[in-house]
Amino acid sequence: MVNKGVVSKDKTKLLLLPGIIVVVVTTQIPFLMTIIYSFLNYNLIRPDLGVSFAGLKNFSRILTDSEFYSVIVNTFYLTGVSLLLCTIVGIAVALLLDGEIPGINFVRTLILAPFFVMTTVTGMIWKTLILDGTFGWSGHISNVLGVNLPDFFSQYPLTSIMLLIVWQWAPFFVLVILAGLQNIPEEIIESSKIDGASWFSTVVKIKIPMLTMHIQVAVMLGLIFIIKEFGLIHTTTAGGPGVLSNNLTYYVFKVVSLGSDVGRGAAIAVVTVILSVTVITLLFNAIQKQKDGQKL
Amino acid sequence: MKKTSLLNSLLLLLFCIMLVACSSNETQEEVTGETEVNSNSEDVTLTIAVGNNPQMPALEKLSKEYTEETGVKVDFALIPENDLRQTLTNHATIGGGQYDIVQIGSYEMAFWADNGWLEDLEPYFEKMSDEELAEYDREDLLPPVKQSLTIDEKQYGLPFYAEASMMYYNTEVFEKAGIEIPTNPTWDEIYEIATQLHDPANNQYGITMRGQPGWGMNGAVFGSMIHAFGSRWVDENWDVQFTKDPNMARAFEMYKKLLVDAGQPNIVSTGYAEASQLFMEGNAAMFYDATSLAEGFNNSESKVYGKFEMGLAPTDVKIDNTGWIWVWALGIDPNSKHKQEAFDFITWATSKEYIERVAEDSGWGTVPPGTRQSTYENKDYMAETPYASDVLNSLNTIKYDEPSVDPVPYVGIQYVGIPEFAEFGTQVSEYLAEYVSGATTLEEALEKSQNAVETAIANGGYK
Repeated sequence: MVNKGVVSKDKTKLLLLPGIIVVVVTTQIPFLMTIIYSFLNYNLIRPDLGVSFAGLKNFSRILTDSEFYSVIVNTFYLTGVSLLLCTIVGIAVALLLDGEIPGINFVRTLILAPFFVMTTVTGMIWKTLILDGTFGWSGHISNVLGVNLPDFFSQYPLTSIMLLIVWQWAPFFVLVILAGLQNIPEEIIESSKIDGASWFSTVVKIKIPMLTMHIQVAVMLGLIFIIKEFGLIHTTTAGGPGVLSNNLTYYVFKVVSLGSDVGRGAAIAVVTVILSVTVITLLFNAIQKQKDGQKL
Repeated sequence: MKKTSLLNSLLLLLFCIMLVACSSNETQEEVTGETEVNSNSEDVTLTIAVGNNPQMPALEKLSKEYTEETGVKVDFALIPENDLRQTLTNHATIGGGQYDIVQIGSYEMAFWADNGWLEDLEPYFEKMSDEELAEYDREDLLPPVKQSLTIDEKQYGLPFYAEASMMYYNTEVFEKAGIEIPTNPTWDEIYEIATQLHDPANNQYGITMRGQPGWGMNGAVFGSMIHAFGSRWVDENWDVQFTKDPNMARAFEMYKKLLVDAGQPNIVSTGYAEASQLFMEGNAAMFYDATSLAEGFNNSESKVYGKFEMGLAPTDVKIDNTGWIWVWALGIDPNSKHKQEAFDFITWATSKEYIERVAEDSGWGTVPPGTRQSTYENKDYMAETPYASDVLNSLNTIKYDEPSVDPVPYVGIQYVGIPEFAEFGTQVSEYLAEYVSGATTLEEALEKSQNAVETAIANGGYK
């Protein structure tokens, strides 16, 4: 007997078609175009040279350029260490805020504020108003104390940018991890107290393991956004000195914007997609494996 | 597992959108442009793309008077100066048509005309009556300024304002230290004076210059130093000179030691805005930069008001004026539907009459400088800007097409007038900043610069 209220499986698939068409037209066709461009000699500011097939020239130029590898290392170093620091700060601050303290809601709002500041504004504020040796607060404070401050963005460009990323992103981690902490049933914490667990062992053995899912969500979202950081780099160091603070996003911008070289820009974009998807897939698989292990 | 692959696909799509954004924005802007131009079939409305630099709001304001006089409306698209170059290049490469008039710098002028992206203005001048020609007075345009907008004896842009690079001196600091302001100093002399006047403990720096990477940032200062030291980017056969010419190494060394031993802190994050702020606040004894910044120092809010002088750019092997010249000009898009009206507007905006009108409106100290001899013959202008005769002298003695003591296959002083320069000039400016910050040695900086320029020259088919 056929149930009239149930649509057959084939027809259900048809319902997906409009969605698939929209996704393919808006994302896959431009991506295919990017792949096609990556095999062309196509420089916007040299119309006299025309557009011709370049074979693998654009890719070989990128892959034989030692700068490209330092940019990749920069990208993963910047993203990896920033995520680690964000997680540590996120857990620490969330633990501090997870309690019945007067005015806690106000404090939570204040802590979240840096996350809502635009990256370009963050860059300008830190570069000019805080870390500048002449106009910034640090300059005035160091003058009063008689201390010589380093030139942050020249001497430690990547570390300085990393600290700004942590300043901006740690609040997001705090928010997500705090939500996890507040979801831990009160009974579990109370039982651990009755069993004589110290504050430290409660945190390490009970709270953090129960927060794994929340930390993973924060890290995944953080990874997707921090790996393509642009505004902070553009406003503070412009990728310099040299390529010391270039990441892949900024590198693509420079090639396309300054060189107007569509072919090479597209080739870098293709390589970036391959690298990013590989890293994210590996990370996601690792998380999935861990989850499967927990279920067993 | 299904969930895993679905998430993977979603992430892939997310990145695709991000990465292809660059190539898709041109098409969007083209569509917008057509709508704007087509909507004005009866009344003429000119669309003009300009940078958001200080002279432009005045032009926008006074253009309303032009509309009242002629009936031609003018729509302004104010684009951040840093984005102007890329935005206009994108429009030109897809056939243009959105803007009737574009603000263009002397660097782009060098190859935009060759690419057919600018209208030759000579036929329009030929159509002018004798009276109109006399009124516009092309002979009044300063020769080096006019020359930087002329290719094969055809002028492709009319100068709106122009600047040279000069050395600014804080007279108060020099007087206190009992040091005389040098006339036509060498870079070595500047270094000696700068180290004597350098007192960072009291926020007093010997010199301030652009240190932030970028061809228009530290690259502009260093580009003029390369030629001052008798070197050149490439020789007449397009052979790159970074590792081959010892004078190039001397220019690198001087730039670094000047800033490290006697310059501002935060060297590589100092652009022209930060450097001019330091000079304006009285924190720097000397400042090597563009003459157009003098207007900001010459008002009562500046701490160096009435306390600064300007001198020619320092020299070394090259003893003629080593300063750079930069012209912001107005040109016409060859695909504009209102080319004659556009020409009439740009002749008005670069005329003597316009300069006088700006003076009436906001004072002689604010008129667009550096374009016309008559501006510098005006008593009111000379009275309000005590540095004007030095600026005129600098502008008139710059040889834009002979930047180096040795022959070169390019034009431009702080840049090489070829399309590829924007990229390799920026790369060299980054290696310079890296060297200044101590992350690389001189040899490494020269080697990296050599490779970057050689690759660009080879790929561009110059050699």
